[in-house]
Amino acid sequence: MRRMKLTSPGVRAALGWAVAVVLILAWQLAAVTGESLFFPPPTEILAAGYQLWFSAGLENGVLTDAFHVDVVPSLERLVIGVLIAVAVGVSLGVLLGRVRVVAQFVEPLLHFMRALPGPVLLPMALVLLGTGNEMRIALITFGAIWPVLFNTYSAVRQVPESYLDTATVSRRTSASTLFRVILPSASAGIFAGIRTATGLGIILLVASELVASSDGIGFGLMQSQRSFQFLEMWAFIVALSILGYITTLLLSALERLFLRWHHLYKAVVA
Amino acid sequence: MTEALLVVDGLRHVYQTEEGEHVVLDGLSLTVNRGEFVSIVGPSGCGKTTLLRALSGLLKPTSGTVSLAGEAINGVPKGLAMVFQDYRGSLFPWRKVGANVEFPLLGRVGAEERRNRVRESLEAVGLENFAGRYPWQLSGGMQQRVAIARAIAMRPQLMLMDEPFASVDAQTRSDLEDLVLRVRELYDMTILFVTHDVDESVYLSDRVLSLSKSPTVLTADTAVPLPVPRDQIRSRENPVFVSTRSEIAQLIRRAKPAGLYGPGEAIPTTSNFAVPVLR
Repeated sequence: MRRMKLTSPGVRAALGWAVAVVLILAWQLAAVTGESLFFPPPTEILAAGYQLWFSAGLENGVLTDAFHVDVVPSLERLVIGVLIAVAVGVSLGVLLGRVRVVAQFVEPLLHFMRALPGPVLLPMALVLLGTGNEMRIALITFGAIWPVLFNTYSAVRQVPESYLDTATVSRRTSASTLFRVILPSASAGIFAGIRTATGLGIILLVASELVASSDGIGFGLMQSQRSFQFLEMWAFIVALSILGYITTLLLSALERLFLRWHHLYKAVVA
Repeated sequence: MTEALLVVDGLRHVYQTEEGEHVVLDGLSLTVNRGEFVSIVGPSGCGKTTLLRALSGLLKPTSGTVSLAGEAINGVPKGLAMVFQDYRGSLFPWRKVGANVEFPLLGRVGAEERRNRVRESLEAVGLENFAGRYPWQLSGGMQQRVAIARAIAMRPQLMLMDEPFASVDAQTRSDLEDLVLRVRELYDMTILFVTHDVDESVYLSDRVLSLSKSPTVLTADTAVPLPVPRDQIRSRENPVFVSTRSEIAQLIRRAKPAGLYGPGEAIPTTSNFAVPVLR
């Protein structure tokens, strides 16, 4: 009832963009009139970002060397860290969801560990794993694994008994039941976990790069701030938000691909 | 000529509850011959579903044996298909109709043969044009037809049906009943059909087995000497239909725990069709 009012999806999207454009224009206007050193106008930030990362020219592949130092390492860490979190989180979640005994023993411990904010582990990770990529990836994985694990766990436990009965009377092997029944049935829940995990992953990525690093977006952000290059600092901030936006788009695309049935299904059944 | 396909001997199942043991099935024995259509009816809560779950291998009975085609079964036997009451819960919403029908064949039957069987089974239930839809885009009756097509695709020796038409409307129900009779004819299938509807059991079956209240035993084995093919109007007007149905209805109304008669009640000796199997 509440969503009947204004909005077809198209209108809503247009409104969203319009608001964004108005806000950016206001920012531009305020920055130009204010002339503060710390708040450069968006046009200058974009120009600085372009200069920094995309000015190598078409013949050199557009991306500058700085892009490979500032952005690429971050992307690698994020992708590897989140992928490991997904692989381990889904496996553990399925194990916990399917084997009651394991869940009974391990669940309290897992809740305890989940309660730890990821950045808190940074000092320990530095000592244990050093200052290399492993430490940063481990930290991202540690932070990102929980939503995947717990969402998988609860989604797997909610797989209807009747689906499992159907698999059993069809004489499926356990592997076949896992991949053809349990995981598809739990996929929407798992996917929600992956979305949250990716968001947390970005936070931990930056946190891990603020300390003892020599490249990446977090490092660049820190470095430009320390050297009073506020335009660059803002460029890094904008780069981060764009990274977040792109991952959201990417996940939405994946979701449309794999969970199309689920959206249609919910619309029909609800 | 008659060859026993399913033989159940002394099937007993006890649930452990907090108040102690709860006997659901108390030594059930029955036989279904190859090619027969046998229904099981009983008062509500008589353990029909427990019985079917034990027969399909979904539940391990406390004691007793079940054998299919001469082989004692342990777990889900080969050559058995099951149609559940809850079609929504037994069709996978992420698989399209064709893919749902194909599901039990995956990894067992070659791709070519799978395609053929899916097409053939969907044709048998009149859904050949719906293979590319999702099951939840279809009506309840159509969804149950998909479940029947999936059972057919397995080419089972025995098809178990657990109150398959309990959640569809009356018109759809009689259509589905005739569909099952047609499919049975077409594939020469043996069917064990659980229902709470006496009319349905008489209309469909060669024999009707009636159950007592739990602890459940078999109370009677009633032949249905109605001519085939059955017809929704004519068969139901047939005096044989009427008398058989009232006989079975009485068996169910008189059903007591563990038998037909309370202590001290007289046991009648004559019956047209029903063979009492009780002391």
